[in-house]
Amino acid sequence: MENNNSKEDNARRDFLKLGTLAVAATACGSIMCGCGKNEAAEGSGKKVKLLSPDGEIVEVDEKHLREPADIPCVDSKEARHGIPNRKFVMVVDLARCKNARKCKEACDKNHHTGHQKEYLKVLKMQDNPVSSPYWQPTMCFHCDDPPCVKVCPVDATFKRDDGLVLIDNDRCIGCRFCMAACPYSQRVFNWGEPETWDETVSTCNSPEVGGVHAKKGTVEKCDFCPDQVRKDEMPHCVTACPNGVFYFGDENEDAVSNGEDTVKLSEMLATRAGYRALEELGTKPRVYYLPPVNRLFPFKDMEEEKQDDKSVN
Amino acid sequence: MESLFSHSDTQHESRHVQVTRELMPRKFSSYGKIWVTTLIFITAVGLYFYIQQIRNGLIITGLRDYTIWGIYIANFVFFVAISLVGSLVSAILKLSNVKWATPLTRISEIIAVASIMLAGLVIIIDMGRPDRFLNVIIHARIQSPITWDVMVITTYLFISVLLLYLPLLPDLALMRDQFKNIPKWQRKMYAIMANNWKNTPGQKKILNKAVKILSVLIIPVAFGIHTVTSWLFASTFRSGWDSTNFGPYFISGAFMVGAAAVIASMYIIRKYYRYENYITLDHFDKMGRLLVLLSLVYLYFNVNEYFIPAYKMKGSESAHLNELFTGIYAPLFWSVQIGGMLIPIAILLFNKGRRPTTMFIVSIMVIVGAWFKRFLIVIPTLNHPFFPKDQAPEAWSHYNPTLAEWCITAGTLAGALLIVTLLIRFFPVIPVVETIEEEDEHTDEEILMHPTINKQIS
Amino acid sequence: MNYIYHMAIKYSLIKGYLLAFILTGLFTSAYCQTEDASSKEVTKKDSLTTASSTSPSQEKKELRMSLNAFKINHDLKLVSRVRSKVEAKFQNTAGVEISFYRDEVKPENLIGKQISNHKGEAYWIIPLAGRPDSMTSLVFYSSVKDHPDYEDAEETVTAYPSKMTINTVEEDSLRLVKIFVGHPDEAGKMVPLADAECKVYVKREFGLLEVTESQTTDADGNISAEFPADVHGDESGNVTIVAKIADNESVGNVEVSSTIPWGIPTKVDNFYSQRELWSARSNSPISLIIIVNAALLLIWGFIAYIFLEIIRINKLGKTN
Repeated sequence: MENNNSKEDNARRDFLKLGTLAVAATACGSIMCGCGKNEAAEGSGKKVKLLSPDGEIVEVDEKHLREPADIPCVDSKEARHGIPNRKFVMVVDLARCKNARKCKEACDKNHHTGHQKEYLKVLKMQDNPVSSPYWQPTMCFHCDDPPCVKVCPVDATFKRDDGLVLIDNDRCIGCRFCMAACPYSQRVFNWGEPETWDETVSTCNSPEVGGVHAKKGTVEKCDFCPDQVRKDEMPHCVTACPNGVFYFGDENEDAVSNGEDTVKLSEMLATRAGYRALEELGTKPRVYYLPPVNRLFPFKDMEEEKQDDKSVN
Repeated sequence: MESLFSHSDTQHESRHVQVTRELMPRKFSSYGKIWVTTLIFITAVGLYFYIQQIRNGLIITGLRDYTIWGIYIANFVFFVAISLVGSLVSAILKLSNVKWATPLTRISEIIAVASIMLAGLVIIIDMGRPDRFLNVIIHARIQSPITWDVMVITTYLFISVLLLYLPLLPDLALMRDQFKNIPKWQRKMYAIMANNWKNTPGQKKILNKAVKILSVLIIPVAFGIHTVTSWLFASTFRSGWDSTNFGPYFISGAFMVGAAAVIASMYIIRKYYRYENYITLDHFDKMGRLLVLLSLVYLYFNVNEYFIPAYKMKGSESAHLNELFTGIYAPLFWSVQIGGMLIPIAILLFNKGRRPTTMFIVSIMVIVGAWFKRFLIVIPTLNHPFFPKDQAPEAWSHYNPTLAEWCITAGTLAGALLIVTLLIRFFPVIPVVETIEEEDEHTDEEILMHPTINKQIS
Repeated sequence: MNYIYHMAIKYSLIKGYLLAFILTGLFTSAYCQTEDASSKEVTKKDSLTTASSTSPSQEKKELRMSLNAFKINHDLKLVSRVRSKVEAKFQNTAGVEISFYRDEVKPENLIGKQISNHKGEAYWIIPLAGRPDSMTSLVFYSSVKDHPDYEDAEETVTAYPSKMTINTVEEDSLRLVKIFVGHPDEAGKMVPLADAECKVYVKREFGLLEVTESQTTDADGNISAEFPADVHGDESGNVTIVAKIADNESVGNVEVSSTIPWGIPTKVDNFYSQRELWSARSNSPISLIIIVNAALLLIWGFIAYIFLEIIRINKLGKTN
């Protein structure tokens, strides 16, 4: 609608002068103003008039019309207690992973991580010299008996009601004890001044937006994207994966979804021999793996992958 | 004026004057000045690099996401270890009525106070956010071994300072009363610190009781600091740290290096101040026997720590152990085990090996070995996480401390020596009054036939 | 719940530059006009930078658009999705403003506008409550026009009326979900729809979980599905059962839901308030608090006593 054609502008003005459909125009105009100016948050909860399919005017709540553009920032208490009545859980189907690394790309983009700092790694695993290697996407497992949280001297990392283990980087003293305690090496540290983040992406500064407000000398890690979850969206790695490797959901509901399929968690883990990494350590991870059996893709090393890409091009 | 000694008759007095003159702190000689200047310079260089570290973050170190702890932590463990000597000499030996250790109590307390202070400082140097240090107190989580460490190190520092200060009271009073040609501030300092000490029976009674309480109290606290420090490692799952042997292993190692530190300092003090009459060959012999005993205990814990895991060669431990025994850390590992433990034991077992100069060299070997032993405890373990780390940048796979790290570490070591030197400069390193009284008692036993000498002053 | 409209989708693709002179915005106040003028400048700048940074010929990218109508309980949801080529592959395109129209693409028929999200989707929900008996088919359009980076695109969908009801009954300890599907016959009378494939789900946080095998309606337009006993509900056991018909020739995408306490109630055992070694400092294990504080009190009690003794030494020195 923002067209710089003057003819169109004139036409519009003429049109407005006619005053036809004045009521409908009022309704639509006000909505559009909101749309164009990104003022949706302000208008939420407000009633707006709308043109119905039969040409009638109906009044509806504005938040009904579109997804919430910006959810309000969570306060520190809420960020520490978590989303009520939820217990988030992830299932990673190793049989589907072909090291496409879209999960990592999406993760790095949204958490402002990258080569020197990774929340998500796709590791090449080999259980013994004979069995075939496989790719294992690895992230914070948000353990139910988290060794990292146990050792934190200042409550900077904490376990929430919804199962997530998060970090308050305004509290962290940078002792790195949690990094030593994590047997999965999933915690990363801002050794130097982190790259500055575009403040327009998120103005909220809470433990729920890992990486967005990175601070020198503090620990970070995968946070299961609770900011996404609050918007009823799944973590970035889940939505980005082209092969449906990641399933995410709520253990209380006994269901996980990979964006396309929603499956019963208990049934999936029972029938497909779900396991957790280093179960013997007793950390009780909230991430389950499905073993890499009946694989969809043959295993290819990174080098082979690169050569394949070249030959395609 | 009341005398500060129990025996103040003329027969003893000339000897008192001589002992007092010999044992009172003296101004630095030219060697002393060079020594202090060097220490100040090294500390200043360390401070310069620490300012760089505050400005740029820990990025200036060789630490990265796999090797998260480096020589700062090794150095921290080293300082905590050395500080245990205070409890060894001034508590354990004192409580078991070992009289010969009297000239060594003060130097060991001085070493303990200096190293525990530096231990606290070094751990702050290792922090990513030293500006938030107070969070450790404001938001203290009682479940964290770091919180326990903060509690127990603070407690140990207080007890050590008290255990240094209280037995110093008679000497402080002596300096207050007899030191005339010193600057005003120094006189004032002695006057205040002497705390109205008049050597009255009441005061002496209180002092004896207080020192006894502290000597008992410091033993569990000393075991506490080093056990908790070992738990910083043993409370994790990492191969090489996940050991139930760690507490006694650390404590036995600490006593060994602490005894070596006392030997090294008594050698230097004896040479520098010409204290051959006070720190005798007998002292060296006895400290040598003590060191060899402590080293044998440490050897025993080493066997437990390495042999049994190596016998099993558990999958997760094998990479770590192989790297120590035959891998890139093997030269350092064997030098430390042989040069810092086995050879010292072998030398000290012989009578000839317990002579001052030999023992000085041996104790330096033990101290250097002990520092690198802490390096070997902290760093190689971090090279072997449970999950593969082959995707990490090449430079991260092996930790090489940077110049900044070495300079900061050297600065802290120099700082500790500086504190020791300054304390010796202003306070008698050998307890004057205590030495005199013990000597008097000794002579009294010899001349027991002359009861007239025993004239008490009330 | 009784009167629900169901729409059939008619899918077609009209693309290009057919509607060159259609206004895409309606403004009534001067305020909005000035706002518009300022944003126009921004757009101008944007288009300039885009032009210089992308291709020299200023070619716009092809935009693929789809439009679907979903009848969900009392609402009609229009979902338009746009995709464009990124690295030789069509990918969901975010940030494109999509306009929704009814009947025809002309300003007075504009329903509203939305900017596509990261999935390339923009949607518009039209409430149908209050006009339950309408039997007429409805036609909707979605369009993108005069976008600086993308070619114009337009898409249409026709929604046909239908009727779908969901009932939950318990018969002899069996929990049954009963569904009826109807559509208007040629005379405009609502008659049962046979052979329509219908699935029953429960609503979950991030999707719909299928709870029964898919079934087809009988000659009376009915389905009776047994609801399993092992479905988890919320704290009071409530579950939202969703019956869904997808891509049906006669009725299109239709969905009805009903909330009923048939689920296993969730036991909420909160992590945060547990007293464990990993709990927050406010929830430390009691035994640990006692042990640590007792040790501290004992040792610091002695230290405090020593300090008192030092003061006593001082006082004794004064009196002498």
